[in-house]
Amino acid sequence: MTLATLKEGERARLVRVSGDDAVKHHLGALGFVAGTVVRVVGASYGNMILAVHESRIAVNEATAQEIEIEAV
Amino acid sequence: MNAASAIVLAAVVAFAALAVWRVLRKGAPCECGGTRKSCGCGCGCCGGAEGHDNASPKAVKD
Amino acid sequence: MANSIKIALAGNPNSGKTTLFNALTGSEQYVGNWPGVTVEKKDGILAGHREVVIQDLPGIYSLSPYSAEEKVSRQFLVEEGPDAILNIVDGTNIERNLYLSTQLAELGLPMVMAVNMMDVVRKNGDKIDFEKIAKALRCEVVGISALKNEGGQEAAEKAVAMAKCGEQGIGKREEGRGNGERRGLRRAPEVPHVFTGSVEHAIAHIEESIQGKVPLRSIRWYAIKVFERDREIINRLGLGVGEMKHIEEHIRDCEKELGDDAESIITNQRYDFIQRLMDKSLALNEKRKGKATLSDRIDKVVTHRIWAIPIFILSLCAMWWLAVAENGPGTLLTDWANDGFLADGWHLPFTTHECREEGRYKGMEFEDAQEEFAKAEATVQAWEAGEKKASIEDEETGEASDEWDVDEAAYNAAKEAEEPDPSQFGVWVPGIGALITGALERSGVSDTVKSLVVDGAWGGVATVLGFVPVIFIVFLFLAFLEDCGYMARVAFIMDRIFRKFGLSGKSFIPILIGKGCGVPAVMATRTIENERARRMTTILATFIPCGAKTVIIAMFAALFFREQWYVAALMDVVGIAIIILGGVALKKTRLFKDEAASFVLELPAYHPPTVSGVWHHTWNRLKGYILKAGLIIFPACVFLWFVMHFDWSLNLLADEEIEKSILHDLGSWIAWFFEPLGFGSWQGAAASVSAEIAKEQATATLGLVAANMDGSTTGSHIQALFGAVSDFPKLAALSFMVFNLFVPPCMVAIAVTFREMGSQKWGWFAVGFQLFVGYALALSVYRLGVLFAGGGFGVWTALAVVVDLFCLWAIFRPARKEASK
Repeated sequence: MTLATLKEGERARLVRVSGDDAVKHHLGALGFVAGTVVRVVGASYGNMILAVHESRIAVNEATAQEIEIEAV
Repeated sequence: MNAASAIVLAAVVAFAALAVWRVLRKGAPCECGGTRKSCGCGCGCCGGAEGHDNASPKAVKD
Repeated sequence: MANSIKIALAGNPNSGKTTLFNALTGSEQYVGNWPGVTVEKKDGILAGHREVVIQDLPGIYSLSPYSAEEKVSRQFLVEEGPDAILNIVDGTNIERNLYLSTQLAELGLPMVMAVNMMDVVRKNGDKIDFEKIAKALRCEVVGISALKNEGGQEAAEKAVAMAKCGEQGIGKREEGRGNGERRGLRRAPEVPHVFTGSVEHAIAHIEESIQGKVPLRSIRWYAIKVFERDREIINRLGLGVGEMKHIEEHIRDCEKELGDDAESIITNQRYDFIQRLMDKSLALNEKRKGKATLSDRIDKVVTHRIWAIPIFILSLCAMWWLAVAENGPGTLLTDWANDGFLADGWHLPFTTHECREEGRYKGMEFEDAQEEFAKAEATVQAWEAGEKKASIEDEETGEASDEWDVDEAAYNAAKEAEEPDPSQFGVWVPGIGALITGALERSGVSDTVKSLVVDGAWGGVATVLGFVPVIFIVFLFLAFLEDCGYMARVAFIMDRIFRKFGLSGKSFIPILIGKGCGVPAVMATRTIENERARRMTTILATFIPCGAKTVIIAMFAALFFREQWYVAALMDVVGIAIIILGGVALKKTRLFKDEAASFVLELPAYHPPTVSGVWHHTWNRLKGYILKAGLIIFPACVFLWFVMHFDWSLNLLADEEIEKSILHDLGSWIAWFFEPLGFGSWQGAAASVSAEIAKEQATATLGLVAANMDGSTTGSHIQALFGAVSDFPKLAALSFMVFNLFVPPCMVAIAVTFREMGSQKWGWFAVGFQLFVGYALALSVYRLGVLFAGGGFGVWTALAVVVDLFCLWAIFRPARKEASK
């Protein structure tokens, strides 16, 4: 299951991030590491705003599809 | 040409030359929104033609 | 200053570094609520400590740089080596912020962690145990609130004390080494124990292999970078093949054991460490957990799937309406400034009354009296020219009034008419132009010198200053946008659209900044991590009409499109369209084929803009504009006046002899270039070329070169100028405006483009592309416009069609198939 399947208001736990190394590590620095719980604050046409720790990170669909999640 | 004309003419030319000289020395101003010692864009309102290093103290060299 | 102490401010974007910097140094740096406000390092002296230099660095999430601005920070921290680090941490988001702090601690420099926004943390009811964090990270921790000016000074003093203490007894800094290494340092400083198990083991091994090659104090940091296989660091260390092979074995073992790549292992273990630390030291208010914040609720509306874009467009339209709509505040103020304050004078509001003096104008309002006088003048003119009918033109619309009969009686009566004295109609405040003219006349200067001052120097400066109200509104709007936090949202909203055309939403931040000025817009492209996308945005960002170009728009909107205020807003739309279509076309060339698929952007929390903050940003931009009027427009106009009033043998010319002037010849030589665009006169050429000095110079030059045309005001001169050059003056005017908006920006912005591109080749490519776009657009607007207006088909129309077909081909041709990698 990837992050892109989540709907507004849903929560999930990150399993792994794949794709381009640079993006992956940037996401890592922003707190997208295995075990982190994220919440979808808003979603529009596949792009979404996520709550990670206390910050809000906007990602687009392509990026969301690279993020593997599991149910909390 | 009378004296008044000569004085006014000289004043206008002198001010124009002064402005050009300042621009050549410190760079042209723009609407970058920064203040003289800050923005680092290198324009005349933000620290001069040679960029932000101009405004920074010369501490790095030694 | 050999013994100066350097304190670096480092921290996440939007953690309040610049606010603290301003508080500490008393300077007025740009603080904004969008990612990438600070893209360069800035220095300031700590108030009360002459020997201490505080350095504000661009915000970073990690010491593994992702974008160009992050490289600035890392390079400085690692290579130049400050004497101490003041790490600003956002207390409301401490976990994420500590990720950077652990890395900074590993650099082994004296460090003070300032936990910012403590006022908010307290209000939220959260508790942070500083002592535990200090112990784990082996640095000093203090709570501050940069905004409320709480504790910042103490934090800085602590950093200074630590930096000084670091110097004592260890000896002087080694000459020529900027790494902060100190002689006599025998052991690496204690750094936090972040890593566990095989990772710690591997790092310890790497430390052994690189000992002696790196500054001892930062050995841990270098070892971790080698573990992460950081190309830049490994190359710099110059490790031998054997050593590298040995190290690589250790790394591989770890990767196999933990089933992830080295860099991710490090990231994960860092966050594990922080998690353990937070379990002990952070108590979040339970009631607040998982609740939607006010920012979330605002985002529900402004990033709504349907409403997001209409809201954005509506706000842009609102700005333009305020700035240039007929009878809108911007236009009213500009009219007042142009015709009243800077020119003849104006009536104090609420003091106007009908003329009370006996005589011709008794019982009339001032404007009616003026019209009466204009009619009388027209009657005199008509009779003397032997005509039987007379009419007057409306100054703004250029429409002729109804004709009236002229006979001898009317002529004699009209000859008696005197210009109405405005002071009889209310409290009259003389304008600056009138004051200057009056002073010159009283002192008895010659007409030539008077013309130099009034038409040349003051005329140009006044034209430019007259638009201050318009650009004030634009700048005010921008400042509001930047301060509240909407900017990052716009990038997010636009990403969806821009993505379709191969651009990233992040390109939109430079574009919005470019509404104010192209120079910071080009600089703001540094936040775009992909090199090609960054170059492309640099080429395209200045197509959005900036503050100075707004002045051209405002002038033409007032003179030619008074009823069509949307023409002004349309120029923004055209700018964005060029950016999108230009992006599509560039993307299909070999130079830019690249997919930037990802979009990751932190959205800062909204906060209501403060009056002082908004004012500050608006004023700084406005100040630049006014400064420019004095430093650039004024000398340029004086120069233009001279070349317009002298011929090649430096004889002074009378007003009628302007055709012999140097400027006339210079303009005529290049006028052919503008011929296809519909304004191929020497005046149009002179205005367009001089606009490269500063865009608003176009308006000043037009006013100057049109001075000999028919009409009573500068505005009507310019209308007459376009009337003389083309049968379709409105189209020629539109073409002139479009050309000057969309050709390369002013020289300052071009210089910055060259600098940011980092190579002459790319700089020239950008300028060439921009020139082509501006020319092609003006050509199409004019030639196709003439065609539709019934002006016929000619050679230039054919050229326009060919150019347009080429553009369409460049945009719509199939994309190259990317060679398989």
